[in-house]
Amino acid sequence: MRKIRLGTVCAGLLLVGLGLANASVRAASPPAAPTDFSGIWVPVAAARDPLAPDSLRMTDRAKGALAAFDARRFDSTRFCMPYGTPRNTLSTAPYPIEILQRPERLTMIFDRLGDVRRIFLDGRARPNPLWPTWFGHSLGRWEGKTLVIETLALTKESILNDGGLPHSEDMRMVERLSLATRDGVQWLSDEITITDATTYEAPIKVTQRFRRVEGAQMSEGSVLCLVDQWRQDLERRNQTLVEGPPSDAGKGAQP
Amino acid sequence: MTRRPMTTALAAMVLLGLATLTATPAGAAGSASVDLSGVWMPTALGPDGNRNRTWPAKPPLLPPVQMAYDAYRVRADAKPEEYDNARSCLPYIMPRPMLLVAQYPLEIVQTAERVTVIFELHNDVRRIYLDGRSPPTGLRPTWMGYSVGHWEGDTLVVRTTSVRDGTIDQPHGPKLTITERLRLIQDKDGKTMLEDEIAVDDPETYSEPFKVRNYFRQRAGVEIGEYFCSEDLWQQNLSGNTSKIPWRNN
Repeated sequence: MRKIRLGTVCAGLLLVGLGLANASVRAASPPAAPTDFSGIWVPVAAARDPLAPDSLRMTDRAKGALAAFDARRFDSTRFCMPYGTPRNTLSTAPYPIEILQRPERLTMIFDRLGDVRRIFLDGRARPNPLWPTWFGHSLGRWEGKTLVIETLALTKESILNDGGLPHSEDMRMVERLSLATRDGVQWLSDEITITDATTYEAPIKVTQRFRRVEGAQMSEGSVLCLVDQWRQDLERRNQTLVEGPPSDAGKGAQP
Repeated sequence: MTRRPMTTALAAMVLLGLATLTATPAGAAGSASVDLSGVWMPTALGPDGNRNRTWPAKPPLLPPVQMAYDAYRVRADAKPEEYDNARSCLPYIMPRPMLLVAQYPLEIVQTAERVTVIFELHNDVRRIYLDGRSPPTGLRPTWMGYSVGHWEGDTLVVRTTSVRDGTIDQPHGPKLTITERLRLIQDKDGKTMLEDEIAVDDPETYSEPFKVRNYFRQRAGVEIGEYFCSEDLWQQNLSGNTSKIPWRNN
């Protein structure tokens, strides 16, 4: 299992000085948003883990689920499945997130497994019925310069963090995104409130911070994980490709 | 087996090293007069309503390539699950994702200096840089390749290089250059379609360049769904059936 984990970990190393990410990508059509979050961001871990289980007030049911958590079986990322929301957003591992912003939509692309969050800003209603998915259904609205996002319908197959913190499909996630500049560095703050009464007796509040990175390059998302998975599958069947398509996968540079 | 992660690690770091060497200054971004953004469904029918072929029936393969390809084809057709990367949950390789006519939509997110294509199939992301940069040299070839583009009037012209080898139906080598012309057109009923004209140029594989086209339509209310190829494996695992899961079976 370490294999897949390591494979995807490497994806994060692709963060390099490639081409001059610009801090001022404007949305292609009016009206202009009060804040532009476009760009590539890297999460910065807080001094104290806000998701440490002993700091959370868990229901007995949640305590039972956490005690029974077996990462080999219940961690989706070990199957090249997505992290899911909010785990992708709460992760403090130093893997970049790319934000594409348009007036009607904010799109977040997560480097490690290629998770894509779509946040609709066009005032639409929630679909009915609303089926649980890995990234949920996110609607956003502006409060001054802050973007407030409410996300519902997150699959219970996902967990909140690597440690396996559970959640139910009634979970509601509210985020307040804002920008600040300190010492010439731009920071994105995501104040996250998770409300899930059958799992946590009190809402979980986490402030996740991201640092803007200039000149970063995103990796190929889930590709490294999938290549590892594919190779393991071939090996299990005692087969190797002599020639033909993906045989050179992962072999390194071929300029 | 324990060697594998290191191999991947090295691959990633080599790319890191090479990419750092080749940063290219960005030029001024051209401004777009057209917005290609939206969810687009590929269609097998062209604007005239006739079936559109997305690949030549007899692509002009060079003789040695043709021989190798024919031999390969026999093996691959016998066991497609072992030779078709997509059947192994691996992503499609350019230009194949742009040429699909199956029911998987793609989404275009157009911002000032970037056009981003997000494919529902495999959740793949393709980034097209419009900021005037040149493609870096020495990049490790990737599934989507490296794409730079510019506007010629209402047409987005995209040049893609550094595409990794290995598309079963569309062989190519390291010299492959894909030039796309993306534009909005009207079909015979006056309805808007997206046309992607794709010119394939690979002097080591094909005796001459050739062009293929794909067409897309926008459908109201259609959003990209969540497609993960590993879902099947994951669901089997959750239901307790681990027989097909390599790392749980040995």
